[in-house]
Amino acid sequence: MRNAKKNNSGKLSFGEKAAEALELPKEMFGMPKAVIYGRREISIENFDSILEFGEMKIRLKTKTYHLTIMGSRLNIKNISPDMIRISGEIANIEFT
Amino acid sequence: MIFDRLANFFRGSLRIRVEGGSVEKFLNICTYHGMEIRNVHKLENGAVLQFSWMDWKEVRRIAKDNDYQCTIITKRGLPVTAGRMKKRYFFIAGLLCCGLFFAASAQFIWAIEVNGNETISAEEILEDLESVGFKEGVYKNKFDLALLKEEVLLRNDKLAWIWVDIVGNKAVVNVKEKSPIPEMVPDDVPCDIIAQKMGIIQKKVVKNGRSMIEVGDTVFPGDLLVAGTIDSETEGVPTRLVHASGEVYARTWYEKTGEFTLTKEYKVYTGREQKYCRLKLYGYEIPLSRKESNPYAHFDVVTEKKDLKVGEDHYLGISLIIETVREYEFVEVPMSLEDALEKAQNALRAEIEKELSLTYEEVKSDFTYEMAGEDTIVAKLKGEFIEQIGITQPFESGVIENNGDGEDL
Repeated sequence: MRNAKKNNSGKLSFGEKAAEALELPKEMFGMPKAVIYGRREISIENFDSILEFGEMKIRLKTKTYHLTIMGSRLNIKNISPDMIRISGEIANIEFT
Repeated sequence: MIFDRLANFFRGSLRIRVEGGSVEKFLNICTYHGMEIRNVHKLENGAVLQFSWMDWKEVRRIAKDNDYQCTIITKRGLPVTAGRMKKRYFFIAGLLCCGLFFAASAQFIWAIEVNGNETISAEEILEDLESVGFKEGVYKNKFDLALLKEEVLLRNDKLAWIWVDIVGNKAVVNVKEKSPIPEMVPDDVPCDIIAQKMGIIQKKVVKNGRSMIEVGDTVFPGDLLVAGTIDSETEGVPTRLVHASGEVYARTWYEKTGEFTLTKEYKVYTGREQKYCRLKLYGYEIPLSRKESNPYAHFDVVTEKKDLKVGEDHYLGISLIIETVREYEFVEVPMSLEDALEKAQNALRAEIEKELSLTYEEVKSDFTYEMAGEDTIVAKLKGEFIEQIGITQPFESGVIENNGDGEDL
């Protein structure tokens, strides 16, 4: 949560700074990576846990912030320790 | 996606309903233990989810420790099917026997196909192959194909070349027939050249021997054209015997007459047919229907063979042979005079060409016809040709053969 606050205040975390300095992919330093396929699917790497799971809303915890996906008929297509794929009608993605 | 499904099939998967607490917590615990969960759908008081067959014990333990109720909805995949099959001993035994049977039958030749033969029948080639032991039902690795080819070539002197390929359970035999060798007198045997037909000499080219004719002479079949005996003008020197060689061209005439009708006969199928089926099992034929002998006055027999194959080439030694006997009748259709004349001319020309020698040149031809009734014509074709009429003829037996250098008679 502390890291998230820093992000909200515009400051970069150590991982982000290191990745930028070394020009390496940020996900190597545990930064979450989200890939959106149109409006129907989103895939998130480096997430920590599921905070809330519903058909209209899914909230995820990552190392740096909380990610809220809102929409309809949402479901988890695939979930493994380091990646989650959510499908459904995605309406909104929010970072808190 | 297809690879995921394939992997899921081989690993096996379970679809369960989880109830009794926070789904989020359950999913987090499962992922914490390294599990992969698919197709999670939220229900009012739980969720439906799918995971690998191997994770079932762990999931059950997690559910028990955290007071969740798990209900299996479906089980899928290879381990599930294998588990169900475990107690079906006879089915497994049958499956194994079937597999063993096909594996064993794959080691034998169950069909032999002959290609490339024109004048020699396929049956004759098959008989030659059988005489060296190569037939349907033999173990395919028993033969050295190179030796087999040599043995067949030695047995059948009409074959120039043979090649045997084994494709699956089928042997494909490709052959090339020898071209017929023209009857010739060997160069070292003394001979004459005689006329094979009547004509007027137009040209002569004598390479060896003594010319007996002049341009303009009329010759008849059997007349001596070039003699193979050369008498010496010097007294005391014996007559030489040589292999006469040369070409003698003569003007020849042919005349052919034939009667032709102004109708054409067509073969029309009546639509009536009978089918007979046979099952060919590893070289043995089993009739599946009773065959009547000659059911129609005029009929064609069409045989269709359907082979049981795995893939394109792997013949399994089982065939269904369908023999269709189709009835036909002849129907006469009127023909125009032009068509009938063309047909008559072609037929008469073909007859003349049968009698002509290999080297000929047409000088002129005359085709005439006259009506012999309402629907019949009598056609006549006269042709004048210049052709090679000389053929070699060895001396009668008792004559001393020599090499052309000269020897006493």
